[in-house]
Amino acid sequence: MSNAADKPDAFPKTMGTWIDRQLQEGTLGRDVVNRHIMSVYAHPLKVYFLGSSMRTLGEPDDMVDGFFASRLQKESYFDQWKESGLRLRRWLMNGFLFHLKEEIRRQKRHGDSSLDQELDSPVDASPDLDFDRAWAMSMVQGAWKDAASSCEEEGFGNHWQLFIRHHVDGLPYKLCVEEFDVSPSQAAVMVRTATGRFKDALRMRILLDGLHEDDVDGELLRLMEIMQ
Amino acid sequence: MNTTDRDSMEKSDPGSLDGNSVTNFLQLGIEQKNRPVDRLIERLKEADGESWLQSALEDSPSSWFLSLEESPDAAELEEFKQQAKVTFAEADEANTRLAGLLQYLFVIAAGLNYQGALLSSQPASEISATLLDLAVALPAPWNDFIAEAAMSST
Repeated sequence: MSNAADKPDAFPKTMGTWIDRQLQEGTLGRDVVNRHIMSVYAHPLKVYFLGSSMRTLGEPDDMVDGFFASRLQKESYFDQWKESGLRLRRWLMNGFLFHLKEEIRRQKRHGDSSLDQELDSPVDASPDLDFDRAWAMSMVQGAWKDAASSCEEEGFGNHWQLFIRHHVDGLPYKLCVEEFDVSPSQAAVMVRTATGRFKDALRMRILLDGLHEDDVDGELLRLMEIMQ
Repeated sequence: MNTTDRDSMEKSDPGSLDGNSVTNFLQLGIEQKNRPVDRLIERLKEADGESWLQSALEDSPSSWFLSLEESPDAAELEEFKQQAKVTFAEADEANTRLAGLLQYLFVIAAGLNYQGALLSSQPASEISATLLDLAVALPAPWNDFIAEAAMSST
């Protein structure tokens, strides 16, 4: 997602549309899609794995990398997702679970006798909830990076820095005005510009999970609730 | 901004966000729909927005709205606020209603700037966001006055 040309832009309204457009570009487009999927969903899947009863199967990196390697190059993988009607993250989580079960069978075939006992060990938290929390975190982190580079590319680097100083470092606006040596109204423009970039980037990432525009606010509220 | 501040900012990384920060950032993504201030901002952006603003301020309860000089005291602000609320609530056409809203928000801004008081029952964060958006749509000198108020409590 670092190359501006690869970035899902404001035109596609759903992940399906964006994926279709990229896949029409052949191998390069498929690589773009796969990079997006891995950048957004790898960490939540690892969190999910660590919270599940299957966490003793191996290292989270190996499990998630193995899952992506086995699925993302399949020609029909995204067609199957669209036919499923599922949100992309649910589709990936289901696929990941299936992949882990395949891994259990593979390890059993290789005679790992301790596996059954290990898989019965209790887990501390709901892996689904952990996955959603990690996904929310991933959405915000990705939107942050998109908005930061968008501001930087268009000469609004200071706007973004003021936004970070206020929203991350907790510096009151009054002090931001002094620190950036701008008038209050200039600061207002800077804040609104950076906030708008972040908001657009975040909403786009939510949309790309397969949601309709009208449902984005509801999804954001749900994610806020589970982050509490 | 000095070098230390810049260095500190460049170290800011989304990977270091905690749960509360993520919640706050998610909140920023929510679309603010159908707020009265959005209609006011749209009105200000129309071709005759500046002349409309001028007449809305001229028709307000005091010359202070237009000049921002000789700050009103607490009792006057309370009186202006009530008048603005009545104008807003009883208006039979959109322009008058929006003028009432504009006057109301000016009074709220005055409370923050002159008295450090929030003269509204709305949460400070909502008022701040509303005033911040309005400030961007206003010309000088009102933009700085409203922006300063927006930034006074956050």
